[in-house]
Amino acid sequence: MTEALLGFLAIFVLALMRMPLAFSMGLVGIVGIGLTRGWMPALASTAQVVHETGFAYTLSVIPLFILMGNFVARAGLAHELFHAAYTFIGHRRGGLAHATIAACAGFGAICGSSIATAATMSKVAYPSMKKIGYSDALSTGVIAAGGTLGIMIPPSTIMVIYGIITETHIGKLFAAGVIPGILTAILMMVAVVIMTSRDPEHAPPGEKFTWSQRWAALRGIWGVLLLVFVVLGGIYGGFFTATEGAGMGAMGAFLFALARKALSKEVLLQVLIESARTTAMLFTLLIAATIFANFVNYTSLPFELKDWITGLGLSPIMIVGAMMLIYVLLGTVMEELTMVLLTIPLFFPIVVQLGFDPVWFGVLIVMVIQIGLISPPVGMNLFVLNTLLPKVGLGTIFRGVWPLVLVLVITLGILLAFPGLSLWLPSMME
Amino acid sequence: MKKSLEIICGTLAGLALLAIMLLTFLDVSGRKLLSQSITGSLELTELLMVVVIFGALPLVSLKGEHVVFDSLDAVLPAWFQRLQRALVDIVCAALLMGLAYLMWNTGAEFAVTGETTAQLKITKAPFIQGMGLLCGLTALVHLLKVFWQSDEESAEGGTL
Repeated sequence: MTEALLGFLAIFVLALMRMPLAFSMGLVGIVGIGLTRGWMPALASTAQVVHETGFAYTLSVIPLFILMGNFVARAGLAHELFHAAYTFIGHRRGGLAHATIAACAGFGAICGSSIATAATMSKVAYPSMKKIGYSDALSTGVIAAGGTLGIMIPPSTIMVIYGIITETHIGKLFAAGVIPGILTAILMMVAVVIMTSRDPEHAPPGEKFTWSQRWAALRGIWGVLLLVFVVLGGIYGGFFTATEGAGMGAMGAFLFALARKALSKEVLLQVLIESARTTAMLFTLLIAATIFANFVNYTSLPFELKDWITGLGLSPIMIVGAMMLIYVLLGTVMEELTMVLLTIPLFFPIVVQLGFDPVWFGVLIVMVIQIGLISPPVGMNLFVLNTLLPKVGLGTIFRGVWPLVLVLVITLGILLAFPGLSLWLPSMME
Repeated sequence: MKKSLEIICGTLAGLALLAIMLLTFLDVSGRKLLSQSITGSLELTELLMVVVIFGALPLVSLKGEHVVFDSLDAVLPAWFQRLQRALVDIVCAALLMGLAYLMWNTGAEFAVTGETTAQLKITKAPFIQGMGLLCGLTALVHLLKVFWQSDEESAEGGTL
């Protein structure tokens, strides 16, 4: 057990020294296996992990969903979504904030990334909100928090990664995210109602539209609906595997971007290269995390931790609750993907042993990542908005987002208390 | 030199990704609509995945896109940060060089047994040795970064 704990410690020390986390995990994993089991097995297992992760058909689901998200972001589909939501609710107090959340939820159904959703919405929704006099804190807070819907509402890159490392059915994970995602969006809107009733001057009403304009705007989002229908409908209905659905989605998004003349040769190449880079970055992490997990699994730590925790006499739900608390706290300072990759080898076996559904735990994991992405001081969505909207200070974004962090924490509690919210839709599959 | 690396590796990885997309689309629509699949599309995807991942790896390192914990940057003096980055790059280079050597040798073992993919009988060895070469190239990038002024550091990966 000591070896594994030293391993974790070594990773943190290396990471603090600014060593990329993938290299820290990989190095510690190899050295760990080398010292405990010998150097030949260490090298052999490393070569095997690299080889198997590289040549894996099912893993092509990752770059394909990333590619789909990047094409969708270029295709300008977010404009139509925001416009449609605007025509319906924009004239109310805080209406544009509600429209932003609704558009984020819609965009989340064709994009699997929280950062991409927030980044796209900052270009689409922020200018409109700024124009009619929304406070920067409210508008950036809503965009940052709304962006996190991108990973709960399927497709979702992080669900794919969770599915791969825990061997959980990706289609079921996707189905499980639908209701929690919609619930989160609704609760965020409730929070906006409360926030804007306290200081209404921060969120003046927008323009009012006629019903014929509204229907016209709704017709504008057919592209999004078609993509959602084909990709998610296809996966949910068992017509496609997740990988096949991702391929169809990427192709569909590519065709949309092409039809809207959003793709010159240079832009196409740029999108492809960006997606390939993200893929490579992610696979480096995946490979390193697998090597490190192999090392941890050779040690007695997973067993001893399991024995210790089950010996505490806590009720199973309290144990999962404690894990969530750890995640929320860690998420404020750690990069969320690394946090999950490092802890899953320890936590996942315990959760399964306690008799919980891996799909449900996956949804909880996504929710803690959502919280981590927008909780100061280290929240990736906040940094991305700060980069894209340099005139808005990080402090202002923090001020706008914290009530919504609270909303996500409450949602996490609800999902923890009512597993049925996550598990009902997947149970209808097959 | 940076530019040519970006063009060569980027085009290689980007086109491989485009090929995966087209292949998956054609294979799936062919299978579902015309009951006609593309022979060996699965293994082609696997080979192309290797190209995407390892082809883009040098660029990820070049642009400093690996996930790093950089919160201490604010409190550390500039000279210390320069030294720290140089050291980190050297360690990363060493690690990648080792990996390059390992994969090259693994590839060589595959070359001896002559292992091929199941359907199309494509020899796997060059792809595995290619992984090694590209890891080596990435190691080189890290070494060069010790001397290059880093102008495009960005800590954000676009995955989450």
